[in-house]
Amino acid sequence: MENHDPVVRMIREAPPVKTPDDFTGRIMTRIQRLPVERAAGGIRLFNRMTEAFHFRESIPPPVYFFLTGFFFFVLGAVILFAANHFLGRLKALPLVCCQPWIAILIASWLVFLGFFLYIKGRAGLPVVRMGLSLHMAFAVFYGIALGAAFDNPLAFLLAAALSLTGIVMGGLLFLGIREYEKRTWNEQQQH
Amino acid sequence: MTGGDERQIIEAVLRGERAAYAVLVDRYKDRIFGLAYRMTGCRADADDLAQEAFLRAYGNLARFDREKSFFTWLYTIALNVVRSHLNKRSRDPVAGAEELMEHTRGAGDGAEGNPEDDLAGREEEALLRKGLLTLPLDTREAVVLRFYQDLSFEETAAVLGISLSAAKMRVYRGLEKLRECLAGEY
Repeated sequence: MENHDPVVRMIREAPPVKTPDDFTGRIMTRIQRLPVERAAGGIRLFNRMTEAFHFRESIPPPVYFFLTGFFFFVLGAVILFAANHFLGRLKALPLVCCQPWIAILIASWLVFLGFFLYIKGRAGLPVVRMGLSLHMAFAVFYGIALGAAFDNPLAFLLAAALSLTGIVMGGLLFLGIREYEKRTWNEQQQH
Repeated sequence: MTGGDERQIIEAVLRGERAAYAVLVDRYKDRIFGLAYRMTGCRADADDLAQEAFLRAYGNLARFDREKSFFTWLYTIALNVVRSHLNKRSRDPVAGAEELMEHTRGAGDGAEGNPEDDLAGREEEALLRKGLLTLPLDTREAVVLRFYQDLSFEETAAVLGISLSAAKMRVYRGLEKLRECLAGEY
């Protein structure tokens, strides 16, 4: 039917558009000039990590949250164990004393988000994103508060390390759910 | 051209062999440039936008899911680049007017080096291009992909991220509007 449509015929008979001769050369020059390969860096590293563990295809995204939660749980347990030995010296710093419980609280929060995503699926993504943002904001706030609690100029290193851990983990989880969102969106379209 | 072949090229690029990307650019440059030209009606814009699309694809190559079609992914990127350019244009009345001047000026732009085209054919082509540029963006995209780029309805739907029936509806709506537009000119 389309083939007999005069408009379609006109379109099909339209002369082809000629691409400038040096088109590829100009693109390649711009690519070669890029100081650091744009395809490289953090995102490529993340992709390699996800590929290595087949995250994209075989592991459902809630599991990312369970694994991260587990990491924080182990961290809390280790600090709790260590605190039994060193607590005497750190009694003056209440923030340090509650560090294991805070790590366990973060673990519970991430596991909760994982369950929420598992139950709600794609529909739960806005809440999960909000939950992750809270987690990252808390990591920054807590890192700064803990750094300030020490009367030492190098305490900012502790603050930065704690905050960065939270931000990097939160960022990776954000990337993970974004991949999940893209994949489920494509699947929805295909169905 | 096979998916496996493209996968190997992409893997080579990701390993740091930047020059391998030229194979992909050569393979798709006509299609992407053609898409940008049909969408904007301006060769200079098409050149900039097609380059931007290839550079953006290069920058995001690590995110590309190699199980999927590179060609569909590249088209989606190119369309996003074009959309964002046209949206900016629509907010800039001066640039919009210049663009309209350019695409109504003559039919030769898109058919460089084709002097055998007769006058009637060139006029017809000019009217068609003018009609195409008056279509709403979503309808224009569907018509360009389906007929100028010769994609199937399934591929058109995949690139636009819409259902098959929605793609068909957009294409037929676009044809209808073009028909009305051309009938008004004759």
